[in-house]
Amino acid sequence: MTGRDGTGALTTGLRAVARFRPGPTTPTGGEPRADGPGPTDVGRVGAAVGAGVVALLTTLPAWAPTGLIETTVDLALLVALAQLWNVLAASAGLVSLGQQAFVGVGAYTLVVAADDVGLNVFLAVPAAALVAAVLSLPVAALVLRVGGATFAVATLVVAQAAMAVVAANHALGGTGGRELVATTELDAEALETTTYWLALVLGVGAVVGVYLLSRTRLGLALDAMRDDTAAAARLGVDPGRTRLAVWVLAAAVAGAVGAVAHLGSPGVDPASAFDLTAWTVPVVFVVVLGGVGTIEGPIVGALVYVVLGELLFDGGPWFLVLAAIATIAVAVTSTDGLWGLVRRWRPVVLFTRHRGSGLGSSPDAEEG
Amino acid sequence: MSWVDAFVAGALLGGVYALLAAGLALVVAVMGAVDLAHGHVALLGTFLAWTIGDVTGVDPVLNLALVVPVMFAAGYALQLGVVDRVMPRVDPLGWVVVTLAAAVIIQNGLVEVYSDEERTLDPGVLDGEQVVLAGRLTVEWPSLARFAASVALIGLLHLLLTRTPTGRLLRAGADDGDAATLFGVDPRRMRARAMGLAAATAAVAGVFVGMGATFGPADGPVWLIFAFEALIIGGLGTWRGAVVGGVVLGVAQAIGAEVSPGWGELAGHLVFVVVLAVRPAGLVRTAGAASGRGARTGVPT
Repeated sequence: MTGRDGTGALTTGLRAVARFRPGPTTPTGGEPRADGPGPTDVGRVGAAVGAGVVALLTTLPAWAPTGLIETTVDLALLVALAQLWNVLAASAGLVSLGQQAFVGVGAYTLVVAADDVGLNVFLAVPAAALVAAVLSLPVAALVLRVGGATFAVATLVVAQAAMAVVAANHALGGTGGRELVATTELDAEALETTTYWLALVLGVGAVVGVYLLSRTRLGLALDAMRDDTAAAARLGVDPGRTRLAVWVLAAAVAGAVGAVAHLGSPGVDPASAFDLTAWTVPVVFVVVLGGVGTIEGPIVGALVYVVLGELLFDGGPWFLVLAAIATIAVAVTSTDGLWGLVRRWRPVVLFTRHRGSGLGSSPDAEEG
Repeated sequence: MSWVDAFVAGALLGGVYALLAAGLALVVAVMGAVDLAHGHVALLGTFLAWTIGDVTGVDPVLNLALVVPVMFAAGYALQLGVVDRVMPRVDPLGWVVVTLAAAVIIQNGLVEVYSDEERTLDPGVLDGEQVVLAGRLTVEWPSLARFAASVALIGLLHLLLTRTPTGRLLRAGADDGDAATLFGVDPRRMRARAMGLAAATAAVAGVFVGMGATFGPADGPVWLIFAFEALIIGGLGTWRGAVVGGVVLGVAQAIGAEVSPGWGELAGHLVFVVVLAVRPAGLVRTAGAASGRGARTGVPT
């Protein structure tokens, strides 16, 4: 995701989390606070916590019941979508309500690649990411020309149009959708476990990837654009190319999420594969509730959202109403979300930063 | 139905889309951004009219006498109390998040109260026989009546904005909020009035759509999309743009549905995409839009 070798990205990322000091360090490497651990220690604690959580997650298939595995898959996919939406909306200024278009494209790529082309079911996941990324280019040419809330509705229209195209296509099963046959030949337990691993790679990969991204040239460009796009452009940042890069990246992740999310389903239909309420509304809520512009926020938000969703009203309409009310409350009071509350209680830094400020450092910049 | 009949029926439905778009155009002009809950607000008004009809037995069109002031008050109060804290020029992300969340609340509230089932409204006083326009060309009387009522309401909105003191203040606030404030206009109340007007007209448009087709709690995004497509196709800044955009969208959908039943909505999206790609300022050119790339802003006149 960041141009690094995919297999080593996770361990590299975790080492990077452990290695770097937080933001503006003093010559002595951060002054210890009188009332608790210093920022450097906090950063190391954060890295240890992160590594511990990931280690625990890797043992899950060995002991956890199916229900917990499925919930964790949902959580990991939501975290992946939320991390990328956060970069899109908070840093690049692209408040998209059309990411479900790429989720749907990913889901249909899975069916076509696995059942029609005969590709291995699990290789269909990277194929879905690729197809979504390629299709995001013509969409970008259309929607990246308009800004703000008009962009949001334009992306919504494009997603609705994509659903209408698929629903009108007989080869894709029309409004009834298509069955997914390839997965029925697999051992159910192996399918569940592999789906879990793929979801975990997407979720953890998105977190680590966005963190590493914030340290690249592209990440610096995004930081600069978030603070002041006009000034960034004068200093040599190309806002158009930066937005396009993030847009394509987010589409690829959404495509992969769409494929993984449908590995365990009996089939794919346009209404649910391209569903705004299922794929994009929770992502917006999770980012705002957790904390816009931070890496930790979407993780905390997704965790709370998924757990409360399981507990309250079975995640039904009343739960969405509650989540929407909470989201409005956070937005109109300009608070930093749940992660902001944690930060006010203790100066916790899970994703420390080596240079500059940016994703993860100033959550107050967007919800002004 | 012949092609000509489909064309006429589409154009007449387009008038209703224009009314739905007119309220959205007012919001865009005064607030500076699209209200993502506009379709859901229209849906809320439609369900309100349906419920009053269900309880009292009075037909939905006459219920509008009650629904319109209620929706105006709701739009006014919500803008003043909640939405005004996240005005898009200051907080674009906050605006999108809050109007989207409002849409989610309306949609899921409607699902809980009315369930997912589709329903339709009785045309009531607008019901009538087929009308022969010329030769073998006929239209349904309700379609003609709601088209006429929609265009008349857009005309009324135009008069309200150009001939009344409130309209002048609204336009002044939309053109230059800071300058208007200097002259004693309270921009918050102006924005609240604009949102109230948008909610009221949306409810009327919703009732008109609901008497020609089935509707359900999940239709909010589609109604928003129709209004938005009509606005972009016609171009912001003039009522003529909203009407032309609405009619073009309605005709495209009707012709598309005539080609193949599943292609109605798709044909509308296609026209929208083509217009956005080759003529982003819309089909109706205005003096302001001719010079620059963007559409004219300001209250439509």
